[in-house]
Amino acid sequence: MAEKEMTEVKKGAPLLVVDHLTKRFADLTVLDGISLTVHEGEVIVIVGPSGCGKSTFLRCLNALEDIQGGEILLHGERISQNNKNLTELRQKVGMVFQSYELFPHLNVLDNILLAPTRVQKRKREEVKEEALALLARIGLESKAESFPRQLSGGQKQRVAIIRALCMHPEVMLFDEVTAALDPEMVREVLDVILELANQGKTMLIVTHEMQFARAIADRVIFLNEGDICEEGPPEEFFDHPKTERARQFLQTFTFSRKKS
Amino acid sequence: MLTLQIGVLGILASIAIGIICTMIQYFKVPIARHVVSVYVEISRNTPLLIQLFFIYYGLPKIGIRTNPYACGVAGLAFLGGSYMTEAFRSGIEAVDRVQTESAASLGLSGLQILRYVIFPQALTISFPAFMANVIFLLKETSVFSAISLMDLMFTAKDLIGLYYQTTESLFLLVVFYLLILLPVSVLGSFIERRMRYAGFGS
Amino acid sequence: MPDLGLNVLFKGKNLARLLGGLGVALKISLLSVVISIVLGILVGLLMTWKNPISRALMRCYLEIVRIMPQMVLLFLVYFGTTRIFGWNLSGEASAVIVFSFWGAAEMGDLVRGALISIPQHQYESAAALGLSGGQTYRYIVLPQTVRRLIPLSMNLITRMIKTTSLVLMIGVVEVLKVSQQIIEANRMSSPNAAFGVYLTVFALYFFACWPISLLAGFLEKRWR
Repeated sequence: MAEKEMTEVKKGAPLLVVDHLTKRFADLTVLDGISLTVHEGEVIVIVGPSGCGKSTFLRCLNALEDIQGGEILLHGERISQNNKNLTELRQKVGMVFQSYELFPHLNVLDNILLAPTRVQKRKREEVKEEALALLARIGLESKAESFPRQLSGGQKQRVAIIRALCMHPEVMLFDEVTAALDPEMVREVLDVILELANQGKTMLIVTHEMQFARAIADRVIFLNEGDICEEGPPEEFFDHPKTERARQFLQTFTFSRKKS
Repeated sequence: MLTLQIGVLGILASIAIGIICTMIQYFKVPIARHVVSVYVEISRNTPLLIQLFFIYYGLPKIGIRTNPYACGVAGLAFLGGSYMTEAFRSGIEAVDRVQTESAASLGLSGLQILRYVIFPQALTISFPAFMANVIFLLKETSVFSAISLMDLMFTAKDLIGLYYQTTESLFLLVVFYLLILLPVSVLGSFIERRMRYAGFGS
Repeated sequence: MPDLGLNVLFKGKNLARLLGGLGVALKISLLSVVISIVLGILVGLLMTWKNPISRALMRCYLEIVRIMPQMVLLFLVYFGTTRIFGWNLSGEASAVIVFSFWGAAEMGDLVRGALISIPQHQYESAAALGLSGGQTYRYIVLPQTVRRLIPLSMNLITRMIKTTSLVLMIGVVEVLKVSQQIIEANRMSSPNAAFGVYLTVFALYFFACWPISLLAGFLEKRWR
């Protein structure tokens, strides 16, 4: 652990501690004893080849998967599917999915208000004010009454981010949130996430957008075959990867053609 | 009008049975869910007429007495319950699993997810199947004559026997079923269209 | 142990007679299914035809069949034809006519559903590969349609088998009629026969339909 501490840029108090997390699907080991400490205000980007377990890792942090070994602690409280306070813990961990997952039968505003009013029992008026202010920040206040099917993919994803934010989570998880988007819509979503980073939100981001990863990350985690293969500040990882596997991975993002 | 009364009561009971069975399957209640699946298989794979004969003629022999009216409602509910269960279940299954996960990640509890996220969507999806079941069950009421009910069919058969005015009584019979079923069918497709436009559709 | 009336079944040829009754029911439904499939494909093609008149006609046909109870249709054909045209149709013939009339409409709707469920892209990409219209149907559309159709039409078969229980009302001697006769004949010696016999009939229908339903469900999952 001591070695890892040195590479960290920001040093708030430890918020989320993952200790030797193991996840298996039947005989297949997807996560093989991952340990990671996330500090308050830190932005961690997780990259790696497909099938390396990045999405599963995020899903474990929200107890959407049961785990076979190790533990995950948020403020010292264990996150697991059998925890009695699971719904309370989940309120502290916001998650945004690749496929947006807005509720199709509710309009934008009701999508955002559902959890704060029903789960946290906050006053509708108060949350509504907050939601509208947030929608205005991303330029979607006019869409408050629209239904998800009337929005573009980028708009839906931004609403999904606001929906998670309104629960005031302590950590936000982003699972390949731009992977299903048309290229011209990627930017508007990433800009929202960048702004959150500037506000000091603690975030874990799984993405294939390397430029974005480099710009936003305090620390990059390279996951390979269910374990952390390499980690460090983005400049170091992208410019001078230490492991051969990471070099190979990064090469898949550069193109060249021999021209005679 | 007896047909309609039994039909309505039977359908209401089937909806109730359908909802209970669907909940049992959704929450995977141990043992009860196996009972439900056995019930669904048995009820779906046997004809209503046989079910009615069994309830009406068979059960009294082992001491369970019924009157034709209760027997009609019970038979229809037994048959309809499984069809409603299937309709609701397929509606719930059609809602993507990630919807449940995203609701869970917002901190909603299992019941809240069912109530605010899954149920409203499943309702819209299963509505056509639901409506088809209602019509199917109303049609099945024509079977009741077989167990000596003062029912539409029975009246017609009586008339056939008494006056042999077959054409007229058959004509009346057709008209009567049209009178009952046409409005239901039209109303069903109307609501379906409304739901698709006002709701979310595709 | 109370008398459940099951012993009646083993008297004489009673069980064999019940099975024979089931045979009649199965014969009617099998015959009707074959006719329904042939006519249903035609109806289904007509339903996807661009001609508005044929479409409207088919729509009406389907609606009528959907709305009228099979029981009423059976009475119409069996008694109605005698009154109006003076024909003297046997119960079995009327049953086959009604079931085919009903089955062709339902089957047609299934064929239509299967045909339109094949995305336009499939036709386009077949055309882009240079396949002719006939080849597109032969190699692309038909295999996909049949896969969707088979499980659904198997469900239709079970519905028909179940509906055959109604034909006793127009005087066909099938399972229910046979069981009534058995119960009647043993009224004195075995007063509780109704329970045992109807339970057996219940089981007979169940074991006739259940395997087909299971197979349909299995194929549906496998071919999805």
